[in-house]
Amino acid sequence: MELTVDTMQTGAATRIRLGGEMDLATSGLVHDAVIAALASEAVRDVILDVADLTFIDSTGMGTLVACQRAVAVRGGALRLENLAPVVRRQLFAAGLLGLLGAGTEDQAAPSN
Amino acid sequence: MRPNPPVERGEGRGPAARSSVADAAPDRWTRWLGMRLAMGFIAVVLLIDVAAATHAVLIGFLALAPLFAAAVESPRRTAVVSATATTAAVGAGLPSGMLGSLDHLLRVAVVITVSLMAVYVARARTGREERLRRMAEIVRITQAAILREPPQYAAGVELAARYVSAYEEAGVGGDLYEVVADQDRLRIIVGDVCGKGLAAVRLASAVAGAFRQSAIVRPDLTQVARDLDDLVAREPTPARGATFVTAVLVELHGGEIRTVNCGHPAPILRHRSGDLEELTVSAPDRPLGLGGPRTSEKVGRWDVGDRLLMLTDGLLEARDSDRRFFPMPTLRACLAEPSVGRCLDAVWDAVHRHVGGEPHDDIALLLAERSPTAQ
Repeated sequence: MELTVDTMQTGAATRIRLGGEMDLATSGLVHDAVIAALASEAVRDVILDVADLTFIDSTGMGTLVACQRAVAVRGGALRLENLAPVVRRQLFAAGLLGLLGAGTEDQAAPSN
Repeated sequence: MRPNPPVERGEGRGPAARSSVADAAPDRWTRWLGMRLAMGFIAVVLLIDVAAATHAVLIGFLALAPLFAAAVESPRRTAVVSATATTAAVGAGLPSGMLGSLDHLLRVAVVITVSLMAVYVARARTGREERLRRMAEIVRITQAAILREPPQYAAGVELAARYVSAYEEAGVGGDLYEVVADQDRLRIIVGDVCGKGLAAVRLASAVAGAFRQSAIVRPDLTQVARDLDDLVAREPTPARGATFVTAVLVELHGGEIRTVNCGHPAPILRHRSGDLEELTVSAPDRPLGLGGPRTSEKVGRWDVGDRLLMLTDGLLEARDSDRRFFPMPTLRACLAEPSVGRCLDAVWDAVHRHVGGEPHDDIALLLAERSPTAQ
C-alpha cells in the first residue's frame, strides 16, 4: 500500500500531511519525516494531518508513539488532526488517542 | 500441499488430528508410487526400443528413471531403480545385436553415471528432510515452553486455546496468552506485542512469565497491569518504533467477570441464547509499557453455559482477497459448536476459508465456558 508524506513548516510547528495506509512497509517514512522536521532548530511542535489516512496497523501505531516520544524529548508536542472515523476508532481501541493529542473520547461517526 | 495445522492446544484434537487421519490411507499407496512409476517408465522405454527396432538408440532415456526416483524415493529404492535401469540398458543391446558396440557402451555408461548420481542425490535429499523434521520438532517443543497449554478445566471453567502463527512453521510470535488458576478464581491474559520477529517473541514470553507471578500475588487486576507496565517499559525500544503490548486482563470468579483493557480488542461474550456481546470499556487504557493511568476493573456477569472469547486483532483484521474483514455472523456460528475445543477449530477453519490460506498476522484465541459447579 502507498503512503504519501508532505511536510509544511509554519513557524514553530511543522505540519505533516499523511495519506494512504500506514503499516510495516510505510511507517518508517513518517518517522523519518518527523525526525527531519525536528532537525530544524525552530521546530518544537509537530502536527500530523491524517485526513487522508485510511488505515493504520499496529506497527504504524508503534511508529506514532515513537514520533510522539521524539517530539516530547525536544520539549514539544505531537498532535494528530482530522482523523478519519476508522483511524479514530482504531486509535481509540488501542488506548492511544490521548497520548497522540487527539482527544480522549471516541467521537467516531457511524461507519460508512 | 495442505495448509499447516494450527498449534494444538487444549483438547489436542483439531484440524491437525483430522487431516492426519485423512492422509493415512493414501499414504500407504503413494509410498510405492515413485518406484512403480520409475519401473514402468523403464519398461515402456524398453518396449518402444524393441518394438520400433531402434537399435538401442533410446536407452539414454533410461537414465530418467533413477533421476525421478531420486526426487521422491529413499536412497535404497533409488538404487534398485538404478540397477534395473542399468540392467535394462545392457539388455537392450541383445535383440538388435548392438551389445558391446561403442555406441551401446557409451549409452550404457551414461545410464550408469546418472544412476550413481541419482543415489547420491536421494541420500542428500532424505538427509535434509530428516534435519527439517527434527527442526520442526524442536520448534514445537520451544513453542510449548513459551506458550503454555492452559488447563482444560479449572475453577469451574472449561478452557481451550489456539495459536495461529503468521510464520507458518514457527508456531510462536508476538501474541500471547496465559491462564493462572488460584482455587476458585481464574486470571487470564491475552495480549499482542507491537512488533515482529524474535524480539516480539521474547517479550511475549517475558510478559506471560511476569503475569504468572503477578496474577498470584496481586489482589486486583489493575495492579497486575501496573506490574506488566513496569516490565514492558524496561524493554529497549527498536529504531523508528516503540515497544508496547496491548492486552486484556480477565478475572473469572463464579458468575463474575472482571476486565482491565490495555488497548486491546474487547473480549466477546457469547450468551447461551447465541447473542454476542463485546465486553467494551468506556475508554481503553494505554497499552502496557506506555505509562499513563490505569482505570479500575470493569465488572460484568456471565451465566452457566456462557462462553467468553479472548482474541487478538489478527482475527478481527484477517482480510479476504477483497480486503473485507472477518465477518461477525461467521464467528457467531463458530461459537455455537458443542464444545470449546470444537468452537476454536471452527474459527480456525473459518479464518482460513476467509483469508484463502494462511493469515497474515498471528492470531491467539482463548475460549472459556462457565460450567455448572459441583457445589
